Amino acid sequence: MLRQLKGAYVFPAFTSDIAYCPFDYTYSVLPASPIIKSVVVDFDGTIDGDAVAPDDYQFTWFNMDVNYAGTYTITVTGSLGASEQTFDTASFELKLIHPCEVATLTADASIFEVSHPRGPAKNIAWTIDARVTSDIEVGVVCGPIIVEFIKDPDTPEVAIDADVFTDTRTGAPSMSFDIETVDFLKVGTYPMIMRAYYQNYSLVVHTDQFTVTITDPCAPPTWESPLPTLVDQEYILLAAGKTYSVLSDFTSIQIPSFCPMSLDYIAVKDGDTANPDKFASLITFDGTLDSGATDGVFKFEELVDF
Amino acid sequence: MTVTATAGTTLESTVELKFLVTIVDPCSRATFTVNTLVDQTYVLSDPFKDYTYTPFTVDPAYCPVTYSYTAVVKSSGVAADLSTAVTLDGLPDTDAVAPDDWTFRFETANHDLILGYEETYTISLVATTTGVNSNPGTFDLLV
Repeated sequence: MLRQLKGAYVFPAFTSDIAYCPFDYTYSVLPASPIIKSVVVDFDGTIDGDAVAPDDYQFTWFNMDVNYAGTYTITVTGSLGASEQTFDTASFELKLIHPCEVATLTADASIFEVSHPRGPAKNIAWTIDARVTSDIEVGVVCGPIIVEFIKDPDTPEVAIDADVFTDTRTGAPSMSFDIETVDFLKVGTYPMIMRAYYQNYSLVVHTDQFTVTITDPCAPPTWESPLPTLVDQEYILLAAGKTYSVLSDFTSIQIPSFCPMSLDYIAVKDGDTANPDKFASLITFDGTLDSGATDGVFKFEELVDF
Repeated sequence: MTVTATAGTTLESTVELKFLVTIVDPCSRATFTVNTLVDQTYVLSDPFKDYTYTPFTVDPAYCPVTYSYTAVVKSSGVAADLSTAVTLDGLPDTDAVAPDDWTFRFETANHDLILGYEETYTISLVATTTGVNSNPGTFDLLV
């Protein structure tokens, strides 16, 4: 691998039927461009036991320039005799690996592991730099890192639920993973995967699983304290009907306010707690909160015999 | 009144708020218009004398009204008991018992009612409905 420690390969010596004849080894490289011979690759084909590296029969390779990445065919030619009319060849492939091809990405999706109630929005700010790290050394440019969110563990891959999640990239490099739904049916857990890979080296990929849990704040809702005080009412019999709305008194204290709610009432006359009653002939009340005009409204109207 | 809100989805919670409703009898807030009463003269030797006054006007008109009276000696302002001499039917029930409804009957031979030849009493008539009294209407009774 380029930019790494020097690599070496000692090829097996050629043999001939005249054992004492020394071989002289040369080599050629295809493709010829870029030139790696003597630039990236060194070779000692002179079998002289000298102390100069590389050793006899040995190929070595090293270069800091990643542009030499590629697969090369190195053909070794072993020649015998002064005229070198007798020779043979052997080839091997040398793959100079770009460091980015074997880089290791590490994606960390832990900040997306959240539990969030339906209703309000949650915006998780993130950047690729903060979420994805690479072991590639400084100075080696591998190109952009792509980060995707996908639903897990579906196969084939399914996009994240767009009704709940929004992957906002408009402010890149500062991005936002947005969670928002008021839909009761969306309550549940959402296992997902954050997948990071180099755009130019798609095999260099790393995924990290995370789960978003949408909770239901309406199971049950809470009530804000202190409770409001309802206003005492007075109705003069036979007078025109009098109305009194208690809707806002209840909706204003419900947390969260969008939870389904119904209202009901009971009345006790003159302290007669043993006989609670609705006194329906005098009192009408709309406790079904269906966005109607009379939701939560009491009406007191004409009852001579009350 | 206790109003209960029940809210929630798979689990519910409730909260109660209370308020008081007072249902008011409209007659407890009735108002009266006092009609002018006419001064009367009763001679002790007469068998009796009836005075039918115009009933006071009450609003609301359907409120039941009863009448009562008090008397004072006009010259001194001292309360006088005329129960043996004056009968009032202040209950408008169209009963057959004399006097008629809304009618005073002056009937007595008791000369103690007068110190000399005559005495004047001021009679105050008050209408009442459901605990509400009218202002008094007054007339003089010369005996």
